[in-house]
Amino acid sequence: MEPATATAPRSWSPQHVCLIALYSMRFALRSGGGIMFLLIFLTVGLSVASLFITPLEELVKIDGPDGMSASELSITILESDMVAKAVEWITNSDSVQSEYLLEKKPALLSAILLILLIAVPFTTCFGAFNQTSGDIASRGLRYLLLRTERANIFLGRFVGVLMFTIVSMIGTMLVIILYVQFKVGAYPGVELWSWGFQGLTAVFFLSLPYIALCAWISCLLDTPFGSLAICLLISGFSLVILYLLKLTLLTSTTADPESLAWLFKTVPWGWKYELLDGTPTVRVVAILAMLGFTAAFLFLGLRHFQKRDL
Amino acid sequence: MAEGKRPGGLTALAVLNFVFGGLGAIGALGMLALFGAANAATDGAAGELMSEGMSEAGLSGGMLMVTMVLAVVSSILLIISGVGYIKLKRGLGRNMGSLYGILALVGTAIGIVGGQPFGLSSIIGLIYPLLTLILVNTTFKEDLVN
Repeated sequence: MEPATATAPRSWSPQHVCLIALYSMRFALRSGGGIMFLLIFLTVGLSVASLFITPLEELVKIDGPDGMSASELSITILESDMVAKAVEWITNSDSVQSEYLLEKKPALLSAILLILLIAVPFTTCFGAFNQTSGDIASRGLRYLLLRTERANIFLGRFVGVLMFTIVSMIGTMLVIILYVQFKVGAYPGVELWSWGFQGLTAVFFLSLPYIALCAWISCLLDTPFGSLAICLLISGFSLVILYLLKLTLLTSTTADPESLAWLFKTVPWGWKYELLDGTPTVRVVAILAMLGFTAAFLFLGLRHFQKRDL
Repeated sequence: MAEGKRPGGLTALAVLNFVFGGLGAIGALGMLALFGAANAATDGAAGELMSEGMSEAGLSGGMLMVTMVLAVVSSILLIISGVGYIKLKRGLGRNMGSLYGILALVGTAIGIVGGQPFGLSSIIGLIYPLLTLILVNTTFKEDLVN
Protein backbone atom coordinates (compact mmCIF):
# COMPACT_ATOMS: atom_id res chain seq x y z
CA MET A 1 0.00 0.00 0.00
CA GLU A 2 1.28 3.43 -0.98
CA PRO A 3 1.79 6.03 1.74
CA ALA A 4 -1.08 8.47 2.16
CA THR A 5 1.08 11.42 1.11
CA ALA A 6 1.47 9.98 -2.42
CA THR A 7 -2.25 10.25 -3.19
CA ALA A 8 -3.24 13.13 -0.95
CA PRO A 9 -0.89 16.10 -1.26
CA ARG A 10 -0.73 18.18 1.91
CA SER A 11 -0.21 21.58 0.33
CA TRP A 12 -2.21 24.11 -1.68
CA SER A 13 -1.94 23.41 -5.40
CA PRO A 14 -2.93 25.89 -8.16
CA GLN A 15 -3.34 23.00 -10.62
CA HIS A 16 -5.87 21.33 -8.35
CA VAL A 17 -7.72 24.62 -7.84
CA CYS A 18 -7.92 25.15 -11.62
CA LEU A 19 -9.11 21.58 -12.19
CA ILE A 20 -11.81 21.81 -9.51
CA ALA A 21 -12.83 25.30 -10.75
CA LEU A 22 -13.22 24.11 -14.35
CA TYR A 23 -15.22 21.07 -13.31
CA SER A 24 -17.36 23.17 -10.95
CA MET A 25 -18.06 25.69 -13.71
CA ARG A 26 -19.05 22.99 -16.21
CA PHE A 27 -21.14 21.22 -13.60
CA ALA A 28 -22.97 24.46 -12.67
CA LEU A 29 -25.30 24.09 -15.65
CA ARG A 30 -26.20 20.55 -14.60
CA SER A 31 -27.28 21.75 -11.18
CA GLY A 32 -30.64 23.34 -10.47
CA GLY A 33 -29.00 26.32 -8.78
CA GLY A 34 -26.88 27.13 -11.84
CA ILE A 35 -29.85 27.13 -14.21
CA MET A 36 -31.94 29.21 -11.81
CA PHE A 37 -29.09 31.73 -11.43
CA LEU A 38 -28.64 32.04 -15.19
CA LEU A 39 -32.36 32.55 -15.67
CA ILE A 40 -32.65 35.04 -12.79
CA PHE A 41 -29.54 37.03 -13.77
CA LEU A 42 -30.51 37.31 -17.44
CA THR A 43 -34.12 38.19 -16.60
CA VAL A 44 -33.21 40.75 -13.93
CA GLY A 45 -30.47 42.33 -16.09
CA LEU A 46 -32.67 42.67 -19.15
CA SER A 47 -35.69 43.78 -17.09
CA VAL A 48 -33.63 46.59 -15.56
CA ALA A 49 -32.57 47.64 -19.07
CA SER A 50 -36.18 47.38 -20.24
CA LEU A 51 -37.24 49.64 -17.34
CA PHE A 52 -35.38 52.54 -19.01
CA ILE A 53 -35.44 51.65 -22.69
CA THR A 54 -39.10 50.60 -23.17
CA PRO A 55 -40.61 53.94 -21.96
CA LEU A 56 -38.27 55.79 -24.35
CA GLU A 57 -39.38 53.59 -27.24
CA GLU A 58 -43.02 54.13 -26.29
CA LEU A 59 -42.49 57.91 -26.19
CA VAL A 60 -41.04 57.78 -29.70
CA LYS A 61 -44.20 55.96 -30.86
CA ILE A 62 -46.47 58.61 -29.28
CA ASP A 63 -44.53 61.42 -30.94
CA GLY A 64 -44.78 59.74 -34.31
CA PRO A 65 -42.18 59.54 -37.07
CA ASP A 66 -41.76 63.34 -37.21
CA GLY A 67 -41.02 63.62 -33.49
CA MET A 68 -37.73 63.06 -31.72
CA SER A 69 -35.80 59.83 -32.19
CA ALA A 70 -35.18 57.43 -29.29
CA SER A 71 -31.59 58.62 -29.07
CA GLU A 72 -32.57 62.32 -28.94
CA LEU A 73 -35.25 61.56 -26.36
CA SER A 74 -32.89 59.56 -24.17
CA ILE A 75 -30.33 62.37 -24.19
CA THR A 76 -32.97 65.05 -23.48
CA ILE A 77 -34.64 63.16 -20.64
CA LEU A 78 -31.62 61.53 -19.00
CA GLU A 79 -29.57 64.73 -19.03
CA SER A 80 -32.34 66.76 -17.40
CA ASP A 81 -31.97 68.34 -13.94
CA MET A 82 -34.61 66.03 -12.46
CA VAL A 83 -32.67 62.89 -13.46
CA ALA A 84 -29.41 64.48 -12.24
CA LYS A 85 -31.02 65.09 -8.82
CA ALA A 86 -32.28 61.48 -8.74
CA VAL A 87 -28.78 60.17 -9.57
CA GLU A 88 -27.24 62.34 -6.83
CA TRP A 89 -29.78 60.94 -4.36
CA ILE A 90 -29.25 57.29 -5.41
CA THR A 91 -25.47 57.47 -5.48
CA ASN A 92 -25.26 59.81 -2.46
CA SER A 93 -22.84 61.97 -4.42
CA ASP A 94 -22.45 65.53 -5.68
CA SER A 95 -23.32 67.19 -8.99
CA VAL A 96 -19.84 66.45 -10.38
CA GLN A 97 -20.49 62.71 -10.23
CA SER A 98 -24.01 62.98 -11.70
CA GLU A 99 -22.60 65.13 -14.51
CA TYR A 100 -19.93 62.49 -15.14
CA LEU A 101 -22.50 59.68 -15.26
CA LEU A 102 -25.13 61.49 -17.32
CA GLU A 103 -23.22 63.87 -19.58
CA LYS A 104 -19.67 62.59 -19.96
CA LYS A 105 -20.72 58.92 -20.22
CA PRO A 106 -23.68 57.33 -22.08
CA ALA A 107 -26.52 58.32 -19.72
CA LEU A 108 -28.84 55.45 -20.65
CA LEU A 109 -26.20 52.85 -19.84
CA SER A 110 -25.30 54.72 -16.62
CA ALA A 111 -28.93 54.60 -15.50
CA ILE A 112 -29.13 50.87 -16.23
CA LEU A 113 -25.85 50.22 -14.39
CA LEU A 114 -26.96 52.20 -11.30
CA ILE A 115 -30.01 49.97 -10.86
CA LEU A 116 -28.18 46.79 -11.91
CA LEU A 117 -25.62 47.38 -9.14
CA ILE A 118 -28.47 47.34 -6.60
CA ALA A 119 -29.63 43.93 -7.87
CA VAL A 120 -26.19 42.28 -8.19
CA PRO A 121 -25.61 41.41 -4.49
CA PHE A 122 -28.92 39.55 -4.32
CA THR A 123 -28.81 37.83 -7.72
CA THR A 124 -25.23 36.71 -7.06
CA CYS A 125 -26.40 34.78 -3.99
CA PHE A 126 -28.60 32.59 -6.23
CA GLY A 127 -25.56 31.39 -8.14
CA ALA A 128 -23.13 31.02 -5.25
CA PHE A 129 -25.14 29.66 -2.32
CA ASN A 130 -24.37 25.99 -2.95
CA GLN A 131 -20.59 25.93 -3.32
CA THR A 132 -20.00 23.22 -0.71
CA SER A 133 -23.16 22.84 1.42
CA GLY A 134 -24.86 20.28 -0.86
CA ASP A 135 -21.78 18.09 -1.00
CA ILE A 136 -21.23 18.42 2.75
CA ALA A 137 -24.81 17.21 3.29
CA SER A 138 -24.42 14.25 0.93
CA ARG A 139 -20.91 13.46 2.23
CA GLY A 140 -19.74 13.59 -1.38
CA LEU A 141 -16.64 15.64 -0.57
CA ARG A 142 -15.02 12.66 1.16
CA TYR A 143 -14.21 11.12 -2.25
CA LEU A 144 -12.51 14.34 -3.32
CA LEU A 145 -10.56 14.55 -0.07
CA LEU A 146 -8.75 11.34 -0.97
CA ARG A 147 -7.12 13.16 -3.89
CA THR A 148 -6.70 16.76 -2.85
CA GLU A 149 -6.53 19.21 0.05
CA ARG A 150 -9.49 21.00 1.63
CA ALA A 151 -8.12 24.41 0.62
CA ASN A 152 -8.04 23.35 -3.06
CA ILE A 153 -11.68 22.24 -2.91
CA PHE A 154 -12.81 25.45 -1.19
CA LEU A 155 -10.89 27.81 -3.49
CA GLY A 156 -11.62 25.73 -6.60
CA ARG A 157 -15.36 25.89 -6.00
CA PHE A 158 -15.10 29.65 -5.36
CA VAL A 159 -13.21 30.25 -8.61
CA GLY A 160 -15.63 27.98 -10.51
CA VAL A 161 -18.67 29.93 -9.32
CA LEU A 162 -16.84 33.18 -10.08
CA MET A 163 -16.14 32.09 -13.67
CA PHE A 164 -19.76 30.99 -14.18
CA THR A 165 -20.96 34.34 -12.80
CA ILE A 166 -18.58 36.25 -15.10
CA VAL A 167 -19.85 34.35 -18.16
CA SER A 168 -23.47 35.15 -17.19
CA MET A 169 -22.59 38.83 -16.62
CA ILE A 170 -20.80 39.12 -19.97
CA GLY A 171 -23.80 37.55 -21.75
CA THR A 172 -26.27 39.96 -20.11
CA MET A 173 -24.13 43.06 -20.70
CA LEU A 174 -23.53 42.06 -24.33
CA VAL A 175 -27.29 41.87 -25.02
CA ILE A 176 -27.87 45.25 -23.32
CA ILE A 177 -25.02 47.05 -25.11
CA LEU A 178 -25.89 45.55 -28.51
CA TYR A 179 -29.53 46.57 -28.03
CA VAL A 180 -28.63 50.13 -26.98
CA GLN A 181 -26.22 50.44 -29.91
CA PHE A 182 -28.35 49.02 -32.70
CA LYS A 183 -31.97 49.58 -31.58
CA VAL A 184 -31.72 52.84 -29.64
CA GLY A 185 -28.62 54.13 -31.45
CA ALA A 186 -28.11 56.95 -28.99
CA TYR A 187 -24.34 56.93 -28.47
CA PRO A 188 -21.11 56.47 -30.43
CA GLY A 189 -20.00 52.83 -30.45
CA VAL A 190 -16.57 53.30 -28.85
CA GLU A 191 -17.97 55.39 -26.00
CA LEU A 192 -20.75 52.88 -25.39
CA TRP A 193 -18.50 49.82 -25.43
CA SER A 194 -15.80 51.35 -23.23
CA TRP A 195 -18.39 52.46 -20.66
CA GLY A 196 -20.07 49.05 -20.93
CA PHE A 197 -16.74 47.37 -20.18
CA GLN A 198 -16.19 49.63 -17.16
CA GLY A 199 -19.73 48.84 -16.00
CA LEU A 200 -19.05 45.12 -16.40
CA THR A 201 -15.89 45.51 -14.31
CA ALA A 202 -17.92 47.29 -11.62
CA VAL A 203 -20.53 44.50 -11.62
CA PHE A 204 -17.73 41.92 -11.41
CA PHE A 205 -15.94 43.58 -8.47
CA LEU A 206 -19.23 44.06 -6.62
CA SER A 207 -20.14 40.39 -7.01
CA LEU A 208 -16.73 39.21 -5.69
CA PRO A 209 -17.34 39.78 -1.93
CA TYR A 210 -20.84 38.35 -2.17
CA ILE A 211 -19.58 35.15 -3.81
CA ALA A 212 -16.93 34.92 -1.07
CA LEU A 213 -19.61 35.51 1.58
CA CYS A 214 -21.67 32.69 0.05
CA ALA A 215 -18.56 30.45 0.07
CA TRP A 216 -18.20 31.08 3.80
CA ILE A 217 -21.90 30.55 4.63
CA SER A 218 -22.04 27.52 2.33
CA CYS A 219 -19.34 25.72 4.32
CA LEU A 220 -20.94 26.72 7.63
CA LEU A 221 -24.26 25.04 6.83
CA ASP A 222 -24.97 21.63 5.38
CA THR A 223 -28.32 22.55 3.79
CA PRO A 224 -28.21 24.40 0.46
CA PHE A 225 -31.56 26.11 1.02
CA GLY A 226 -30.48 27.26 4.48
CA SER A 227 -27.31 28.65 2.92
CA LEU A 228 -29.32 30.59 0.30
CA ALA A 229 -31.68 31.97 2.92
CA ILE A 230 -28.85 33.09 5.22
CA CYS A 231 -26.86 34.64 2.34
CA LEU A 232 -29.89 36.65 1.20
CA LEU A 233 -30.71 37.64 4.77
CA ILE A 234 -27.16 38.85 5.44
CA SER A 235 -27.07 40.78 2.16
CA GLY A 236 -30.42 42.45 2.84
CA PHE A 237 -30.69 42.67 6.61
CA SER A 238 -27.23 44.16 7.09
CA LEU A 239 -28.49 47.19 5.15
CA VAL A 240 -31.67 47.44 7.20
CA ILE A 241 -29.67 47.25 10.44
CA LEU A 242 -27.20 49.88 9.24
CA TYR A 243 -30.03 52.16 8.17
CA LEU A 244 -31.74 51.80 11.56
CA LEU A 245 -28.42 52.44 13.32
CA LYS A 246 -27.93 55.58 11.25
CA LEU A 247 -31.45 56.78 12.10
CA THR A 248 -30.86 56.11 15.79
CA LEU A 249 -27.56 58.01 15.77
CA LEU A 250 -29.13 60.90 13.89
CA THR A 251 -32.01 61.22 16.35
CA SER A 252 -30.00 60.67 19.54
CA THR A 253 -26.95 62.80 18.66
CA THR A 254 -26.36 66.02 16.81
CA ALA A 255 -24.42 64.31 14.04
CA ASP A 256 -25.27 65.32 10.49
CA PRO A 257 -26.14 62.64 7.86
CA GLU A 258 -22.93 63.26 5.87
CA SER A 259 -20.71 62.41 8.85
CA LEU A 260 -22.41 59.01 9.20
CA ALA A 261 -21.84 57.96 5.58
CA TRP A 262 -18.94 55.76 6.75
CA LEU A 263 -21.48 53.39 8.39
CA PHE A 264 -22.38 51.87 5.01
CA LYS A 265 -18.70 51.56 4.10
CA THR A 266 -18.48 48.69 6.60
CA VAL A 267 -20.24 46.47 4.03
CA PRO A 268 -19.48 45.97 0.28
CA TRP A 269 -22.84 47.60 -0.60
CA GLY A 270 -21.55 51.00 0.54
CA TRP A 271 -18.72 50.98 -2.01
CA LYS A 272 -20.69 49.96 -5.11
CA TYR A 273 -21.17 53.38 -6.72
CA GLU A 274 -17.53 54.33 -6.17
CA LEU A 275 -16.77 51.59 -8.71
CA LEU A 276 -18.33 53.90 -11.34
CA ASP A 277 -16.74 57.11 -10.04
CA GLY A 278 -15.16 59.58 -12.40
CA THR A 279 -11.97 59.90 -10.33
CA PRO A 280 -9.59 56.96 -10.93
CA THR A 281 -8.22 56.99 -7.36
CA VAL A 282 -11.75 56.64 -5.92
CA ARG A 283 -12.35 53.69 -8.26
CA VAL A 284 -9.08 52.04 -7.21
CA VAL A 285 -9.92 52.48 -3.50
CA ALA A 286 -13.37 50.92 -4.11
CA ILE A 287 -11.78 47.97 -5.96
CA LEU A 288 -9.30 47.51 -3.09
CA ALA A 289 -12.18 47.60 -0.60
CA MET A 290 -14.03 44.90 -2.59
CA LEU A 291 -10.88 42.77 -2.72
CA GLY A 292 -10.40 43.30 1.02
CA PHE A 293 -13.94 42.13 1.82
CA THR A 294 -13.44 39.14 -0.49
CA ALA A 295 -10.16 38.19 1.19
CA ALA A 296 -11.73 38.51 4.65
CA PHE A 297 -14.75 36.34 3.80
CA LEU A 298 -12.54 33.77 2.06
CA PHE A 299 -10.19 33.65 5.05
CA LEU A 300 -13.09 33.08 7.46
CA GLY A 301 -14.64 30.46 5.18
CA LEU A 302 -11.39 28.61 4.57
CA ARG A 303 -10.56 28.58 8.28
CA HIS A 304 -13.93 26.99 9.05
CA PHE A 305 -13.77 24.58 6.10
CA GLN A 306 -10.34 23.31 7.21
CA LYS A 307 -11.71 22.33 10.63
CA ARG A 308 -15.27 21.16 9.99
CA ASP A 309 -16.52 17.59 9.79
CA LEU A 310 -16.98 16.58 6.16
CA MET B 1 -25.79 7.50 -19.40
CA ALA B 2 -28.51 4.86 -19.26
CA GLU B 3 -31.10 4.74 -16.48
CA GLY B 4 -28.97 7.19 -14.48
CA LYS B 5 -29.82 9.53 -11.63
CA ARG B 6 -31.65 12.67 -12.76
CA PRO B 7 -29.42 15.78 -12.56
CA GLY B 8 -30.70 18.64 -10.39
CA GLY B 9 -30.77 20.94 -13.40
CA LEU B 10 -33.19 18.69 -15.24
CA THR B 11 -35.50 18.62 -12.21
CA ALA B 12 -35.32 22.43 -12.07
CA LEU B 13 -36.16 22.64 -15.80
CA ALA B 14 -39.12 20.27 -15.28
CA VAL B 15 -40.48 22.38 -12.41
CA LEU B 16 -40.06 25.58 -14.46
CA ASN B 17 -41.81 23.88 -17.38
CA PHE B 18 -44.79 23.02 -15.18
CA VAL B 19 -44.93 26.56 -13.79
CA PHE B 20 -44.59 28.34 -17.15
CA GLY B 21 -46.82 25.78 -18.92
CA GLY B 22 -49.52 26.05 -16.28
CA LEU B 23 -49.44 29.85 -16.23
CA GLY B 24 -49.44 29.99 -20.05
CA ALA B 25 -52.40 27.63 -20.34
CA ILE B 26 -54.40 29.47 -17.68
CA GLY B 27 -53.60 32.83 -19.33
CA ALA B 28 -54.48 31.74 -22.88
CA LEU B 29 -57.67 29.89 -21.90
CA GLY B 30 -58.71 32.71 -19.55
CA MET B 31 -58.25 35.26 -22.32
CA LEU B 32 -60.26 33.17 -24.80
CA ALA B 33 -63.04 32.73 -22.21
CA LEU B 34 -63.02 36.47 -21.43
CA PHE B 35 -63.26 37.47 -25.11
CA GLY B 36 -66.02 34.91 -25.68
CA ALA B 37 -68.03 36.05 -22.65
CA ALA B 38 -67.59 39.75 -23.50
CA ASN B 39 -68.63 39.12 -27.11
CA ALA B 40 -71.70 37.13 -26.08
CA ALA B 41 -72.77 39.70 -23.46
CA THR B 42 -72.53 42.64 -25.89
CA ASP B 43 -73.97 40.87 -28.97
CA GLY B 44 -70.68 41.09 -30.85
CA ALA B 45 -69.99 44.77 -30.06
CA ALA B 46 -66.96 43.91 -27.93
CA GLY B 47 -65.47 41.88 -30.80
CA GLU B 48 -65.92 44.78 -33.24
CA LEU B 49 -64.33 47.21 -30.80
CA MET B 50 -61.42 44.85 -30.31
CA SER B 51 -60.84 44.41 -34.03
CA GLU B 52 -60.93 48.21 -34.47
CA GLY B 53 -58.37 48.62 -31.73
CA MET B 54 -56.18 45.96 -33.28
CA SER B 55 -56.35 47.57 -36.73
CA GLU B 56 -55.26 50.86 -35.18
CA ALA B 57 -52.32 49.05 -33.60
CA GLY B 58 -51.47 47.52 -36.98
CA LEU B 59 -52.42 43.94 -36.00
CA SER B 60 -54.84 41.55 -37.72
CA GLY B 61 -57.41 39.19 -36.19
CA GLY B 62 -55.76 36.23 -37.88
CA MET B 63 -52.44 37.14 -36.28
CA LEU B 64 -54.04 37.25 -32.84
CA MET B 65 -55.54 33.81 -33.44
CA VAL B 66 -52.17 32.41 -34.54
CA THR B 67 -50.50 33.91 -31.44
CA MET B 68 -53.19 32.44 -29.15
CA VAL B 69 -52.93 28.98 -30.75
CA LEU B 70 -49.12 29.09 -30.47
CA ALA B 71 -49.39 30.07 -26.80
CA VAL B 72 -51.73 27.15 -26.05
CA VAL B 73 -49.56 24.66 -28.01
CA SER B 74 -46.39 25.98 -26.27
CA SER B 75 -48.02 25.52 -22.88
CA ILE B 76 -49.01 21.93 -23.72
CA LEU B 77 -45.50 21.20 -25.01
CA LEU B 78 -43.98 22.68 -21.85
CA ILE B 79 -46.06 20.39 -19.61
CA ILE B 80 -45.43 17.29 -21.77
CA SER B 81 -41.68 17.92 -21.92
CA GLY B 82 -41.67 18.55 -18.16
CA VAL B 83 -42.98 15.02 -17.67
CA GLY B 84 -40.35 13.82 -20.14
CA TYR B 85 -37.55 15.49 -18.16
CA ILE B 86 -38.74 13.84 -14.94
CA LYS B 87 -38.80 10.41 -16.59
CA LEU B 88 -35.56 11.10 -18.56
CA LYS B 89 -37.36 10.32 -21.85
CA ARG B 90 -35.79 11.10 -25.19
CA GLY B 91 -39.05 11.53 -27.11
CA LEU B 92 -41.16 13.26 -24.47
CA GLY B 93 -38.28 15.19 -22.95
CA ARG B 94 -35.62 16.12 -25.47
CA ASN B 95 -37.76 16.14 -28.63
CA MET B 96 -40.76 17.91 -27.10
CA GLY B 97 -38.49 20.38 -25.31
CA SER B 98 -36.70 21.17 -28.57
CA LEU B 99 -40.03 21.51 -30.37
CA TYR B 100 -41.17 24.00 -27.71
CA GLY B 101 -37.98 26.03 -28.14
CA ILE B 102 -38.33 26.11 -31.93
CA LEU B 103 -42.04 26.95 -31.71
CA ALA B 104 -41.34 29.86 -29.36
CA LEU B 105 -38.70 31.23 -31.75
CA VAL B 106 -41.04 30.82 -34.73
CA GLY B 107 -43.87 32.45 -32.73
CA THR B 108 -41.71 35.49 -31.99
CA ALA B 109 -40.66 35.71 -35.66
CA ILE B 110 -44.30 35.50 -36.82
CA GLY B 111 -45.24 38.19 -34.30
CA ILE B 112 -42.53 40.54 -35.59
CA VAL B 113 -43.51 39.91 -39.23
CA GLY B 114 -47.16 40.48 -38.23
CA GLY B 115 -46.42 43.92 -36.83
CA GLN B 116 -45.69 43.31 -33.15
CA PRO B 117 -42.81 45.51 -31.98
CA PHE B 118 -39.50 43.79 -31.24
CA GLY B 119 -38.14 45.06 -27.96
CA LEU B 120 -36.37 43.98 -24.82
CA SER B 121 -39.56 42.26 -23.62
CA SER B 122 -39.38 39.99 -26.70
CA ILE B 123 -35.77 39.14 -25.81
CA ILE B 124 -36.75 38.41 -22.17
CA GLY B 125 -39.51 36.13 -23.50
CA LEU B 126 -36.94 34.24 -25.56
CA ILE B 127 -34.56 33.54 -22.66
CA TYR B 128 -36.31 30.39 -21.45
CA PRO B 129 -37.03 28.81 -24.88
CA LEU B 130 -33.41 29.41 -25.96
CA LEU B 131 -32.06 28.05 -22.68
CA THR B 132 -34.28 24.96 -23.06
CA LEU B 133 -33.18 24.43 -26.66
CA ILE B 134 -29.49 24.67 -25.74
CA LEU B 135 -29.62 22.65 -22.52
CA VAL B 136 -31.66 19.66 -23.74
CA ASN B 137 -29.43 19.32 -26.81
CA THR B 138 -26.07 19.76 -25.09
CA THR B 139 -25.86 19.56 -21.29
CA PHE B 140 -28.68 17.03 -20.77
CA LYS B 141 -28.40 15.24 -24.12
CA GLU B 142 -26.83 12.15 -22.52
CA ASP B 143 -29.42 12.08 -19.72
CA LEU B 144 -32.58 12.13 -21.84
CA VAL B 145 -32.13 8.69 -23.40
CA ASN B 146 -34.89 6.46 -22.02
